[in-house]
Amino acid sequence: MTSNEDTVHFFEGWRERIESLIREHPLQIISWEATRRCNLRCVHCGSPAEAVNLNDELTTSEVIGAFEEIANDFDMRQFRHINITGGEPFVRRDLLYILQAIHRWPFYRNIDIQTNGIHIAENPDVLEELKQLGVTGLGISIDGIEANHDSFRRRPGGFKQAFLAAKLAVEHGYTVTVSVVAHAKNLHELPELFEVAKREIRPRVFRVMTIDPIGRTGHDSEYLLSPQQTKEVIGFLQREYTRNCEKYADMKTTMVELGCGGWLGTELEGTIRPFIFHCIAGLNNLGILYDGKLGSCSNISRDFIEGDLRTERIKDVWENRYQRYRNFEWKRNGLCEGCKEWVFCHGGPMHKRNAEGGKTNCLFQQLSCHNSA
Amino acid sequence: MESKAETISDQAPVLTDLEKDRNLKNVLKFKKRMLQWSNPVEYVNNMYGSHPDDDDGEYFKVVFSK
Repeated sequence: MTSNEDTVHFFEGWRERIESLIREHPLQIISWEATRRCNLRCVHCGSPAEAVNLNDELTTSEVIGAFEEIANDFDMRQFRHINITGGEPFVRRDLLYILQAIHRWPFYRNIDIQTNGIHIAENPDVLEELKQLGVTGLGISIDGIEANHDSFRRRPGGFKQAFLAAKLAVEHGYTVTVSVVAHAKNLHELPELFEVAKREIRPRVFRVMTIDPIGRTGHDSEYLLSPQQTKEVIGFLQREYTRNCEKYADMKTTMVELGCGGWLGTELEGTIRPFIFHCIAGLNNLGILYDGKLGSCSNISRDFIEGDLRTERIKDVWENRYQRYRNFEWKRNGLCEGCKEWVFCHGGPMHKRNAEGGKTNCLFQQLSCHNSA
Repeated sequence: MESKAETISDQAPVLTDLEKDRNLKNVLKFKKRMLQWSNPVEYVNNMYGSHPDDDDGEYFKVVFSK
């Protein structure tokens, strides 16, 4: 049988291509945090509205102006897509207007929106409108079976709405991801939720993120996973992946994936989700935050803001800053110091970092420590 | 940390030895293809997974072909 060891040398070539991506940092993805406002107040939110000045939210014309500036200043030939997050993006009443306005640039297509599904469930006609405006993907959060989801999301009926929204989106031809934050109080429901979602929603992706101590989830949260529980989540995903990955070429198959929670080690990477992970924040992924600050994904600490589109040219910031996203040596401390996987993972995802350079946790080390215990 | 969560280890499907053998071969074959794909973050680019990729599923058709 082919051994996992046979794949080791392929990592070298992969790493060279990562280094090339870092050097070239072509703009391929814009992550736009449309708002920090939300119609829910979930227990675990990684982007809570607390401690932010919601009055600073970009106006309609500022948002359109930012996309126009990017269209004029950047080489858009390699551009891939726009990823819209929040808060809850549909809370912005001008969302469709903005999408309409930027639709005139042909590269602003292939847009996805991450949503709690409430707006879609209450206004299903919006699915047809979004399609005309270049939206191709919808990510809908479902965090457990009904009682658990509603409790976690603090909204009775929230599960039914999210479920309906996801189902309608699949029926309308969107590429749909059901996103689940795995935590200590819902992990026992993952297998059932996966089966129900696969059977009744039929999304392309069943995406599991292990909960991180960021945003509203503090370091002492009762929702955090123990190393044993993390291993159970990974084990579940690995069994599902192993069992079904030969069907993934069929785009109608529901895939499992572990979201960007971090590097799993050269042995596990490529055996549990349909890709090899490397954090792309600041490499090809530019983040426009709700107030015009420039960073990357919205769940990365605001300590890593690199500029402000209200006062600076976005291209200048992208080309001349972002060193913390592209030169990783500052991360090589604490958990990362002396780690043999460093050359591939470069300190892991930016959303796990704090301003002092510390790291909230490391999936690879959690799994390794547990295995060796 | 105290948790009331049950273990999920026993809830996932159990594979027979034959399935394991065949499936592991596939997993490693697919892994090699992922590692050789020209864009090293092809699917990570997909961010939250909610995109068809730009080439009508070429990544999946190639990486996961039999």
